[in-house]
Amino acid sequence: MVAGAVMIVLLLMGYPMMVPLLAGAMLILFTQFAFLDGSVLVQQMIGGISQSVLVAVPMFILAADIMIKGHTADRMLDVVAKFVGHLKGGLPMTTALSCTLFGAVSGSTQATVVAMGKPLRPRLLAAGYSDKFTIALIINASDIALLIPPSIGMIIYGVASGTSVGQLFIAGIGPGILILLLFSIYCYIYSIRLKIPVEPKATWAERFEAMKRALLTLGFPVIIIGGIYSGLFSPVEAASMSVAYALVLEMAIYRQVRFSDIPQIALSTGLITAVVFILVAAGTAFSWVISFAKIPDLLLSDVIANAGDNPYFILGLISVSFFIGCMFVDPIVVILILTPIFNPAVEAAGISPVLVGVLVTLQAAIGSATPPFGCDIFTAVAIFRKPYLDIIRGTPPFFLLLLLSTIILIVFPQISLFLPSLMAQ
Amino acid sequence: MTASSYRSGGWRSALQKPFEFFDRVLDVVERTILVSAIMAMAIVSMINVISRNMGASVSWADEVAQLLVVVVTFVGLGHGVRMARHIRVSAIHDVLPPKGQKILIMFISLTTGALLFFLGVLATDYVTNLMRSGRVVPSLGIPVYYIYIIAPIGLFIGSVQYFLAFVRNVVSPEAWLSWHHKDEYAEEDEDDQVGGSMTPEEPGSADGAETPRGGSQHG
Amino acid sequence: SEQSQTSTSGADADAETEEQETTTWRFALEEVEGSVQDAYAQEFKKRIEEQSEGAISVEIYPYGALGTSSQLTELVQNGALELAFASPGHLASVIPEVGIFTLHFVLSDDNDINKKILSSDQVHEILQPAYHEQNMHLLSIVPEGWMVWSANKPLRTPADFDNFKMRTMTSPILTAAYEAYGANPTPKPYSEVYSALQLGEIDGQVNPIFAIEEMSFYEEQDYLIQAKHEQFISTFLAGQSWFQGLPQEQQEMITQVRNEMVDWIYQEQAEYNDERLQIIKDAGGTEVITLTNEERQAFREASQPVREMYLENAGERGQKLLDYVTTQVEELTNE
Ligand code: NA
Ligand code: NA
Repeated sequence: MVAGAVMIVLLLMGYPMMVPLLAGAMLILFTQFAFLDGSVLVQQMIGGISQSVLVAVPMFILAADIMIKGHTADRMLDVVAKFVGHLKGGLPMTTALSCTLFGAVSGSTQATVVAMGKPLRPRLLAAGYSDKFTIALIINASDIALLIPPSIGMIIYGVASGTSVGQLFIAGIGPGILILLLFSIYCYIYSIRLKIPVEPKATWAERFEAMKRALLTLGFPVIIIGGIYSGLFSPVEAASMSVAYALVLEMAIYRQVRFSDIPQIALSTGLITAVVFILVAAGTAFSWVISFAKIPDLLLSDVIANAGDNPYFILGLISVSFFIGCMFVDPIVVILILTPIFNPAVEAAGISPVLVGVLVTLQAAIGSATPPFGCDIFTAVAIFRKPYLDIIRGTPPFFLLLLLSTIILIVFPQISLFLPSLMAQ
Repeated sequence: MTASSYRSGGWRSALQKPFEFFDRVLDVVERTILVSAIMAMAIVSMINVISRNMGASVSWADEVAQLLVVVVTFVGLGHGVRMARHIRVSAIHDVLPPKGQKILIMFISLTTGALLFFLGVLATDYVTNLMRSGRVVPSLGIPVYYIYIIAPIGLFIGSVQYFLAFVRNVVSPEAWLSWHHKDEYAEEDEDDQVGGSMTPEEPGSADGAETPRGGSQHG
Repeated sequence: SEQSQTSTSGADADAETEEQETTTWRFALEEVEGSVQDAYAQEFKKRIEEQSEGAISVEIYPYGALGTSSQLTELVQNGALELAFASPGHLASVIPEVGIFTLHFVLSDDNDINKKILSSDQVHEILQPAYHEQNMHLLSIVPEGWMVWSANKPLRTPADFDNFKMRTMTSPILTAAYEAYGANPTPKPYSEVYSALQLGEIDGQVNPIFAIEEMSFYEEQDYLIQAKHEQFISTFLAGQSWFQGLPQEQQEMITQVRNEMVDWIYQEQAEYNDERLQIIKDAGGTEVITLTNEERQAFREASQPVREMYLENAGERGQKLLDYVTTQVEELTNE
């Protein structure tokens, strides 16, 4: 508790965000486990960033930077604008859909914020949407992807709870669509209420022209989605292949990027990667200390023991616990630590573990876009070069929609369980 | 260039030349490592795609990419302090008067420098342990500490950069987030300009880009 | 907090027993709750807590709570943890000798024979100095079941492995083993195997039955192939300085419990894997193939060159261990 208060104070004072995380970890470690070798913090920091899926992040940043430096991104987005620019809320709805689809295949919400957010944000701003709305939309829509297969969060939950990963994957699709729908409705209402002007409807000739101009850039979705779903490469490799494609396109074909531009782009990529990943590292050290001290166990065991077997209460408790956990700590770690703690209560109340998996993954998604600590927020701060508070300013409506989704999913479990039950027959 | 803003006393100018030299060398080294590591990551990954689909996976690809991430993170830790790019929340800071802001930044720089220094010591312990145990990178067979030594180095450099930020606030008027960067939120484009002129091949241009924000206002 | 004051060095623990204060031993696993390692740890906890009459409390940390497998080993080395499991796949990067347990066709296909050999004093005596050099103390060599291949085609001969993209752990001996069969071994993190199978990025993988069930790999595969080429083995270890610092009677208690648990765990893991295999069979859609001795022979021959690679890394001690294990397997088989 003391450590938590210290962390919040340090955070608000304006310390670089690695400091509250590391100071919190040190405070607990050195006051409660004085016998411990403090180098464990460094071990965990290095371990936290040594995950193969994280390699996708710098690779997508690099690809996005190359595309933005050249004309690829513009050509691609022209097509989108020509098709949806005349619809109320069309552009933000497309943004939500793109983030969801890209996140679904890339497996990394951070990579999605970069790869989709970087090119789409200027478009939305130009169309008259405010920056706080735009950024909040991008980081929250990227998180829907955690629910769409393949989802690392669900795989981890499947292992920790002994639930079929295949069933979990299918169960995430309904909720994913539900949230996308809610976001789209919000975008529609937002654009009407703020009277965002729409573009005149493009003619089919204009659309055809835009598509022709963008023909080669359509290689990106083909590479990323086609490459991954055909088994040609892993999500991480898809990232580096899109770097290769971006280089070929921009340097050899469009000739918008010169070889001498590359070091500068790579440097900017490296720096953004570093300032985000040092927080992933510090967050891992912090969560190690939390689990070593068995703090989740201590906090939750009494509550769970007295929870009885009311499924609504237990599902609510699970959602709240995972959400709070994911506000501070990496979602994967939260899932690994908390799932076994709740398993007995879930079994005793006879709740479908698949439903719990969907809820848990959703909380993980919400948590990574919710202050104070969330990797998507950090990524957005780093790539958009905006102050932290500006980044999170627009998130409350999205947060409320996600909260609403959580409640809907608890009250109507069929949204999650319908597809898996079809599969079982 | 930036140096003009803190050049006033005799002892300062005596220290200035060697300081500027080391500062510039460090800057170039950091940039070179960041650029090469990012490019290497892309290349390694591409090689693996091609070779696996041709029937011979490169068993070290995954591990090398992860090691490069570690290198980028810790080199970028130090470089990020230099460039004043570390992520922070500026809630209290924003409501303070300029004088209060400067004091707050000095306090933060000094304590953050101390914390990173302490962490650097812990990192040195960790690397020493790895050296003793002889742990190797499985696919490459090279000792792990060859790579992880970057952790203490990055932390110490980050620590020194924060101490320098403190010193800068002592010797120069206004508030400074790092030796070279004033306390103001750089917009996206401005940063591109900074990055743009600083390819590793052109060490001299580094300071040039900072002139509009650093030197000219205080020279 | 209570935890903080109690679990320190053995000397402190000794002084504290008079006041009947509980000492905590932290025991970290490479596997999740409900796994073979968890079963072992729970039983160990039960027996130790009973025998010490509450003076010792064993805290179990399942996979993910405190880090990856190799991080757990480091935590034992520097005294943050007292007890842990460490399997040869990663442990070989600090103790090359244990790489023997990742070699194919070194052990017998009869687990009674393997039990005799792996729990023998001779094997422990050869390995113990290697553990001590790393500030670790080997307590027990624990089997977790046969490694089983999964694929979408029957893998009956080395020729079936031609260009087969086989997921392995990142370990040179393991990749070399499948290269020797003509496969294309593809190292990949455990958590990404399911989706890589689903997307066809890899053709198959190898794990014990319990893991194949736990991770749902069988959902994406048509065949499970039992070649009995390798047993999935983990080693149960303690921190060396911690163990040496324990009072004599506690050291003896640990040794006694681990001796008593040898038969227990062999039986437990067999039942455990049988149960999981039944779940896979009940789910349908996965055919289980057991290779004949003739079929195994072809793989055995193809796997021989990998032993050279092991010996290069593991040196004299590795040679001694390999010689001992192979001659014992031969002798006990002919009995
Ligand atoms: Na996904
Ligand atoms: Na968060």
